[in-house]
Amino acid sequence: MDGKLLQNPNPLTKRFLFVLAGLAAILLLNLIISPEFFQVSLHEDGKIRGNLINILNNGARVCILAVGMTLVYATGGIDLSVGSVMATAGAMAALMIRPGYLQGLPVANPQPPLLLIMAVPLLIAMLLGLINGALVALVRIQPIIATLIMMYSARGLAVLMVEGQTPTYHGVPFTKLGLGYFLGLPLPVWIAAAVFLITVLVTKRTALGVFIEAVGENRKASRYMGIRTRLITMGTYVFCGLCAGLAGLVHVAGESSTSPYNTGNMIELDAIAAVIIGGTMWGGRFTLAGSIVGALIIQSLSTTVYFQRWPYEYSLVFKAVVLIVVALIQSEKLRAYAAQGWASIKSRRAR
Amino acid sequence: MNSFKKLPKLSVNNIPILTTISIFFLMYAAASIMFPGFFSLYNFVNIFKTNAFVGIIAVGMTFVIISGGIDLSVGSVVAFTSIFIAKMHQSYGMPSWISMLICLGIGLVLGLSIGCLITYFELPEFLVTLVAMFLMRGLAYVVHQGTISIQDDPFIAFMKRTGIRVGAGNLSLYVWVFILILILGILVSKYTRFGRNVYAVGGNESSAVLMGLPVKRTKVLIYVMSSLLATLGGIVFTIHLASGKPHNTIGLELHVIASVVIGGTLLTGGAGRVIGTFFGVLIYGLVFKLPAYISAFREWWAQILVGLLVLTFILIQTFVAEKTARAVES
Amino acid sequence: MKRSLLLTMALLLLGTMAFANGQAADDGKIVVGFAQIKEDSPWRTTETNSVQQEAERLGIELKLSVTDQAGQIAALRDFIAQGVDGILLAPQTRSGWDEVLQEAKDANIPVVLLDRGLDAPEHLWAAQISSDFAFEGRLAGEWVADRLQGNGKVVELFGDPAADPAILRSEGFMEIISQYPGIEVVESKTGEWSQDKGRQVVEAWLAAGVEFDLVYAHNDGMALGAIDALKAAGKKPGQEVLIISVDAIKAAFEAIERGEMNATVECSPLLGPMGFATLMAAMDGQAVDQYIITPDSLYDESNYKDHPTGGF
Repeated sequence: MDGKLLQNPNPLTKRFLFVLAGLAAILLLNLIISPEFFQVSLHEDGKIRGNLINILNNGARVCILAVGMTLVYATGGIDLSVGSVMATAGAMAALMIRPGYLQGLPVANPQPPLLLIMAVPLLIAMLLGLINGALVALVRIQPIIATLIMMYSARGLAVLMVEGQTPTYHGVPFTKLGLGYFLGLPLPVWIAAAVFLITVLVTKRTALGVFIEAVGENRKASRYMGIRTRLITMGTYVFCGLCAGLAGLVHVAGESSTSPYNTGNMIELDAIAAVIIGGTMWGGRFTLAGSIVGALIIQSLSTTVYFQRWPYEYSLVFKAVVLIVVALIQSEKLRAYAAQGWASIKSRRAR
Repeated sequence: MNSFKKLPKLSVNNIPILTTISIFFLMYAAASIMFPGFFSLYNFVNIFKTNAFVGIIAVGMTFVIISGGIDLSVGSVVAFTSIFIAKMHQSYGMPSWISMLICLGIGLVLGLSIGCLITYFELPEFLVTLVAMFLMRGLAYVVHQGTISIQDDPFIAFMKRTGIRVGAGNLSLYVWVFILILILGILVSKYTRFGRNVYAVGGNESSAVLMGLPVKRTKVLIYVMSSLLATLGGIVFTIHLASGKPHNTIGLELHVIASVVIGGTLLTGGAGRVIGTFFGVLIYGLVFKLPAYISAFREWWAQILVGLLVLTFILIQTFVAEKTARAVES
Repeated sequence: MKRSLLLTMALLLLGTMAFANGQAADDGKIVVGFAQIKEDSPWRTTETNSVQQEAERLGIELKLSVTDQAGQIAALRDFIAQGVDGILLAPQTRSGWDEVLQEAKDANIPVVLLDRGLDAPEHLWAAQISSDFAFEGRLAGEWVADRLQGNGKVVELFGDPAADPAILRSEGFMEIISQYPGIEVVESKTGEWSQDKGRQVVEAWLAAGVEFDLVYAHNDGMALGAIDALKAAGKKPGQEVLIISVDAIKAAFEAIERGEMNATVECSPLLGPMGFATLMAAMDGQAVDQYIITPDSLYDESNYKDHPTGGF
C-alpha cells in the first residue's frame, strides 16, 4: 500500500512546491523590506530567539489545528468549532489548576499531576469532536452546520465553566507547555512537529490515509468496498477535536491564563485557510506537509503585519485575498476556462 | 360551518413550521404569565425594534439556505456598513443616506462576486462566503479601528423619530423596513418564478438543470439578494445604534442561521418558509430577553438553549425528510 | 378561511396587550436593573460582582444583563417593561441612548451611569460615577518622570482608541511627560485592552529592534501581555524594562510581588456601594451630583501591600 489510488503521479507534489514557493515569497518580501527580519540568535540561557522563531512559535497552534482539520477536510467535511473547543479545553485546565480562582484563592497546592491536567481537557475535546462526528455521520447533518452549532455551544460551555472570568496561573508546571524550551527551541514548536510526524506516520504507514481519501472522494463507493465510512468520518472529527484541545492547552499555557471569550477566537479561519492553501482537496487527496506550510504562510502574514507596524486587521484582508486566489488557482473550472481560452486562441492562430 | 372542513391537513411537511409557531406562542404565553410587565405593547414593539436588522438579513438567508447554500459573510457586512456610514459622516460630513446608497452598491458588487465564484467557478459556498467574511471584517477595521458615534445626521434622526406611537413605545420607520422586506420575501418566495426556481434548485439541482431552469442565474441572484439584504440590515442596525464599530456583530451569522433553522427551513435545501424565519427570529429574540428577567439565566444559558433548539429542529427535519423519502418510495 | 381566523386572533391578542399596559407587580421589594458590558476583562467582572454584592447586602433584587450595546438598549427596555425602580448602566458606546433614556424618564426610572459617560442631554440621566481618567494618566506620568529621573524611552500600549479611558489616560500622561524633554515616547499602539494583543504588539516592537526602558499600558491586561513578550525575548520585565499600568487588578499585584511589574494606578471597579447609594437617593427624589469622581491612587513596590484587598 503506497497510498496512491490513481495511476497519475501525485499532483500534490507539484502543488506542494507551489505552496512552498508561496511561503518563500512572503519571507523574502519581508527580508527585502526589513533585513533584520531573519535575525536569529542563540542567547546565554540556551534559547534561540528571533523573528523566525516567533513565527514558528506563534504558528504552532495553527499547525496543530491544521493537521486535524486536514483529515476532516479530506473526508469532505469541515470543522468550524476548533476555536471554541480550544477555549473549552483551556477552561477545563484552568479549573484543575486553580479551582479556587472565583473565590480569590491562589493556585491549587499541590498541583494535580501534569499528565492529568492535560488528559482531562483532551478527553473533553475528543468528546466534543465525537459529538460533531456523530451529528455528521449518523444524523447526517451537513458538517458546516453541525460544527457551527458546536462552535456556538462549546464557547458557551467554556464561559460557563469559568463563569465568565479569566483565571490566571503563573509559574505552575503546566505553563511549560507554552513557555518551555527544549534544545533551544520553544516547546510548542516541538509539540506541533510531533503531532505532524505522528499523523503522517499513521496515515501513510497504515491504510487509514487511503480510507480517508476514499471516503472523501466517493462515500457510496467506499461503503460498497467495505470501508466503514461512518467510523472513519467520526474518527476524523474526534481527532480534529483532539488537535483543537491540544492547541488550546498550548495557548493557555503560553498566556498563563484562560480567557474563555478570546481563546481561539477566529482561529478556525486560519486553520481552514492553512489546509486549503496547503493544497488538500475538499473530499479527496490530502497533504499534511502542505497544511503545515499553509499554516506557516498564514502565520507569516500575521507576523508581517505586526512587524511592519500595520494594524493587525490588515492581516484579515491579506488572508482573505490569498485564500480566494489560491482557491481559484486550484479550481478545476479555472483550468477549464483557461483551456477553452487557450484552445480558441490556438484555433484562431491556425486559421 | 362549511369553512371548518377546510382546516389544513396535518401533513408531515408542515410539522416544522407548526412546531416553530407553537414554540413561539408557548414561550410568549409562559413569559407573560411569569413576568409582570411582559405582556404589553411596549414589549411587543421592542422585540421588533431589537431584532429588525436580524430579521431583514434572515429573509435573505432563508432564500440562500432553501437553495442549499450558506452565507457566512453577513455579520461582517453589517459591521463594515456601520463603520463606513459612521466614518463618512465624521470625516467628510457625508449625509448618511448617500453613504447608505454607496454601501448598497458595495453590497451588490459583493453579492455578484460571491455568486459568480460559487456558480461559475464552482468553489464551495462556505469557502467563498468565509473569505468574504474575512475580507469585509478586515476592510471594516481598515476604514476605522474604533467606535464612531453618529450625531446630528438628519436622515438617521428622521428614521428614528418618525413612527407610529404604540403604547409607550415608538414603532419607528426603520422597523417598518423589516416588515416590508418580510412581506416582500413571502411574496417573492410564493408567487414569483424566481421563488419557485430557488426551491427547485434547492430540492434537486441536477433535476432543475434538466428541467431547463435558469439555475446559474438563480444561484447568482440568491447571493446578490443575500448581500443586499445584509447591507440593508447593516443600515438599519446603524440607525438603531446611531454609531459604527468594526468590532460589532461578530457571530451574527450564527444568529441568523439559527433563526432560519428554528423557523423550520430545511438545511439540506428545497423547503422552508419565510414566515417561519420570521417566527424563528422572534424566538431567538425571546430567548435572549430572558437574562434580563431571570438573574440566574445568564447569557451563556441562552446560547446553550438556542443551540438545543437548533439541534431539535435539525432532528425534526431529519425525521421529516426520512418520512417523505419513504412516502415517495411507497 | 384559516388565514382570517388567525388574523382575528392576532388582532385580539394585540388589543389585549394594549390594555394590559404592563404594570409591574408591587411586592415592596426594590428592583434594580444593571446593564453591563460584555467584555473579557477581570476588571469588569469585579465591577459586576461589586454591584451584585451590594444589591444582596441592601436586599435589593437585581436584574442583570451582560451584552453589547444593542443588547444593552434592549435590556434597558426590558427593565422598563418590568417596571424596575432604578437602572444602573455602563454604556458601551457614547451615542445611541437618547431614545431609550427618554423612555426611562417617561417611566420615572432614574438611570445612574457607571465607570463611563455617554452623549445625551443631562436631564435624561441622574448621575455618572467614574474615575478621572486624565488624573490616572497624570499619576502615572509623575511616577515615570520620577523613576526615569527625567531621561528615558517609553512605549505606550493604548486601549481602544475611541474609548474615553484610553484617550484621557494618554492625555494626562503626556501632560506630565511633555515637561521632561529627556523622556521620549518612541512607540504608541493599541493593544485593544487585551493581554494577547498587547503581547503581540510588544513582540513585534522587540523583533523590530525598538529600544525602550519603560512600558506604559492603559490597562493591566495589556501590561501582562507585555511582560510575556519581554520574557520570551529574554529581557527582564520589572528590572531591565519598567512596567506601569492602570486598573490595579489582582493579577497586577501578583506580578509586582514577583518583581515582574513595577506599578499600577488604581481605577476602582468597586462601584457597587456608590452606585446604589446614588441611585437610591435619585429614586427618593433627592438631588444628586451629575458627575461623581471616584478617588484613585498609585500602587508600586513600596506600597502595594497596603491595598485593602490585594488588588481588584
